[in-house]
Amino acid sequence: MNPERSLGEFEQIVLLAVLRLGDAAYGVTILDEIAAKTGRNPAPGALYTTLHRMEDKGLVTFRDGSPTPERGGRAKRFVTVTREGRNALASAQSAYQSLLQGLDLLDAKLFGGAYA
Amino acid sequence: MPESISSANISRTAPAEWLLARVAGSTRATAILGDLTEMAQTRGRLWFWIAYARTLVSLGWRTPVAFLLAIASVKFMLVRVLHLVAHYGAHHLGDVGLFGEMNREVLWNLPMVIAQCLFFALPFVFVCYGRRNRLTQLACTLLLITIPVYTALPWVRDLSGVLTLLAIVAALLLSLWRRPVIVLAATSVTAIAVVTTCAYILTSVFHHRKVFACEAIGIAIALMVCSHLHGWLLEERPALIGDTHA
Repeated sequence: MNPERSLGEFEQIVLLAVLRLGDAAYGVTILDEIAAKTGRNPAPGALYTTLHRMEDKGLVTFRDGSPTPERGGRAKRFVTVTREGRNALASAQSAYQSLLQGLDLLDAKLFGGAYA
Repeated sequence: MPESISSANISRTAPAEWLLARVAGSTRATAILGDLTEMAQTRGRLWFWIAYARTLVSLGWRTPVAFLLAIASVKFMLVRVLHLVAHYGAHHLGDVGLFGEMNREVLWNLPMVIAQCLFFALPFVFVCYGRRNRLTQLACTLLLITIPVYTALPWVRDLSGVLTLLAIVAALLLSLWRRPVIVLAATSVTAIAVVTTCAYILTSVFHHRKVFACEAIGIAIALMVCSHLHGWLLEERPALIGDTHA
């Protein structure tokens, strides 16, 4: 795998949030989705830095929406994950899955058992 | 109830948008300001300005820091490294090395010039693009190969020169490393050309020597060239898509 295409943890979180949101993914909804699903409240600057870096790498693309009054007449920029972004995410998740296999980590957490 | 950013006072954020556009580009800046304005409806004006300041720093800190590091690195090279070379190298001025007088000009001067260029290019690309970037990796490798040329030992200089030549030829032959070599070469040639031109103009037209100003202008323009060309490295070539997705 090209090392410039390997993904950091936050990049994976952002890509997953964008995929979950589908056509409605833009800055505000991505931040809300990450907060709702992970309990984290990332700074907007961190999100934009990550999105711009992934755009430069060709992992995501943007398309402009229509301007709205609550945004001061500014248009939304909707995010879409590219094929390359999906492949990089799948590759990273596959690595996690391989490492998790045989550990029963999720079961232990769910049932508050042996590894607590 | 926090005071929200309404569309009535949006005009007050126009300078903020202009400033953000300087570091992120106008399209990105407009979208970011729109997002922050939308979120500020429920979080208040204070939140808006704090989030704006943090976003501005997050997006814009790398370039000025990288530029200052590049300048500091060049000053270190000029003040410390070249001083040491002048001090210890004086005893070996007559040495010809393993390959004779003619080859000495190429084998010793080529790595010397490349190392001097890399003293400003490496800190810049490291801060701007990170250690995993091909440009950073190539600059780091070339600096490690060329730095021994500053030792006074002729055989070390010869070895450094030969390795530098081999590394450049190998990089030009390999499709993965050809573009980074070209970007580094373009950056270095620009720096040398601008510094030389500025120094010539200052000394011949204005009759005084502002060496530091020449270096700063040269490095700034060279780094703009480097930033502009860097996007070219990220354009994936068809032959590499299979590797990337493997």
